[in-house]
Amino acid sequence: MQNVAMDVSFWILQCLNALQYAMLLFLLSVGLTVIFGLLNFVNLAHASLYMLGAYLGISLAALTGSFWWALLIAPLLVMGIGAGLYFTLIARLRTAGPMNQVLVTFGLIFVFLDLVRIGWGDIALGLAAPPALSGTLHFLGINYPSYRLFIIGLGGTVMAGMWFILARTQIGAMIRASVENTDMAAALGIDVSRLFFLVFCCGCALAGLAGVAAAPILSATTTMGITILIPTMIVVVIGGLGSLEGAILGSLIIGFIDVFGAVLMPSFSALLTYALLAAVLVWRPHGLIAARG
Amino acid sequence: MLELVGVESGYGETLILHDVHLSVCAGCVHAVLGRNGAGKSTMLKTIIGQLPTRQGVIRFGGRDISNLPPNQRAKLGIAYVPETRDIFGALSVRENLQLAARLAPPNQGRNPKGWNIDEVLDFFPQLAARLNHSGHQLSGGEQQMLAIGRAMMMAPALLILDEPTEGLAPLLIEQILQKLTALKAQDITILLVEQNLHFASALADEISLMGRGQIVWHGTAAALHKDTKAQANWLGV
Ligand SMILES: Nc1ncnc2c1ncn2[C@@H]1O[C@H](COP(=O)(O)OP(=O)(O)OP(=O)(O)O)[C@@H](O)[C@H]1O
Ligand SMILES: [Mg+2]
Repeated sequence: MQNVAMDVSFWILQCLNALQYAMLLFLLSVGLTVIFGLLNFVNLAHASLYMLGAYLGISLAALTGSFWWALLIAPLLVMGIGAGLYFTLIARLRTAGPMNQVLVTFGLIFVFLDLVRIGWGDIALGLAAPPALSGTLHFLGINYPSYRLFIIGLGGTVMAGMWFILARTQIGAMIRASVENTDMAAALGIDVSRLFFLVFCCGCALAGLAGVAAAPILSATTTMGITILIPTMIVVVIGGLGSLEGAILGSLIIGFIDVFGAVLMPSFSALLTYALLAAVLVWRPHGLIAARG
Repeated sequence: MLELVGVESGYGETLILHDVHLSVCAGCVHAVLGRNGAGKSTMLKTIIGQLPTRQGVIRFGGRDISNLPPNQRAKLGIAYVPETRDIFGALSVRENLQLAARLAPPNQGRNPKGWNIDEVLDFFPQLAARLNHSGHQLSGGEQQMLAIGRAMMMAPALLILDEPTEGLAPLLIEQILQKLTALKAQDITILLVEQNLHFASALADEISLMGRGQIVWHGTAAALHKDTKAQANWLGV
């Protein structure tokens, strides 16, 4: 009896961990996938913005003395950096073909990496969770850090908000229409470039938000961007490029596979994700929820 | 209302239109006919700005629009029903219509006869039961109706239709013909591309024939009926 109870709470714990990881992946992949869907643009530097979010968040928390200010302002700064990138590089690269886009944004990863090294140094930096969230909550027979629950809630809120905007508002309909058929959207009078820019900025802000939110759990390191880039790309590909539902589904799948894989079959866990990726690509080359027919 | 002077256009390196001249008068229905591959759709795409004007000028209401992006041309009142209809499959029928309506409200200098959703449904009652279905679920005929209704939601000054009868059953073609005749009676300017001579001559005040990327003949439907040589040269299959 004692053992069963132990077991159940162990699995609840793992589920929450998976959910929390999935939410981080979601915050990153949703921006990447919507940007890809709209701009047909692969921004490998998206995860660098996540890293910048974490570092900027740490500095801002030190500056303002409040985690909450950091959580609010860092994404806005990252959005500003994204807007700068858009005007200097990305707008010009839009018609340059995928190979050039990959090369340039791959190069950007190293630029940001070095900038962070210069600005913050090479050692991992921590960020303390805000006092209100630094304890643990006791429920369902487990103790779980309240900050991790906060991340789950934050991801869920962003998910619900994005779903509402995309599914229920005029601007959401404009975005879905432009993802599906850019030319026809423009023929209906939609300023597609402005819409793209807006969406790009929001995607960057979400990457920054993910970075600040992750800092108290994972610490900020110069490799954090590169580490999360691969799973994020996998989420985007298996979910379906350009699809919000795909990003949700993909994040949950990869989050759970990663956490449960590590528990159940530690020696295969790394392989598991790639096997899934290959299987999805064979079975549904456009992803589980394709945005375009 | 719409005027093309010496327009040149194409895809990438390939030039398709050479020195196209066309003039559509306000309140007229102007039909453009021609064989497959003559360049009719290319001309329409150039007019709406999907393809750049390489040479020449496109004037709309006296204004040079050759260098305006497509969305600004739409705002001036050019509505387009493409050959492929291009209904947004991920959007509901209602959303497809509402999207186009964003342009309508100010109505300055535009056709005051733009429709709202109720008027689209009056015109195409078949769509009423489909309002909350997604675009994916429509039949070919329903897509065509929605594409026309969507264009009319923009309160256009000029309605451009690319082969509205293509792929439709004869009964539906007759129905669309009736609907467009009703639109014509409302004094809406229409530029129509067609393969179906009967359909075009029933509707058009003026007809232009296109061949190898140029306008090669221009006149009335009656004149075209008499000119069997032009028919044989530019339409015969
Ligand atoms: N996207 C494209 N890229 C390159 N060439 C194209 C493209 N679309 C059409 N063409 C070529 O341009 C020429 C004119 O095509 P267009 O579609 O304008 O003809 P059309 O008169 O509309 O014919 P149809 O009656 O079959 O619709 C054709 O030779 C066609 O092969
Ligand atoms: Mg055509």
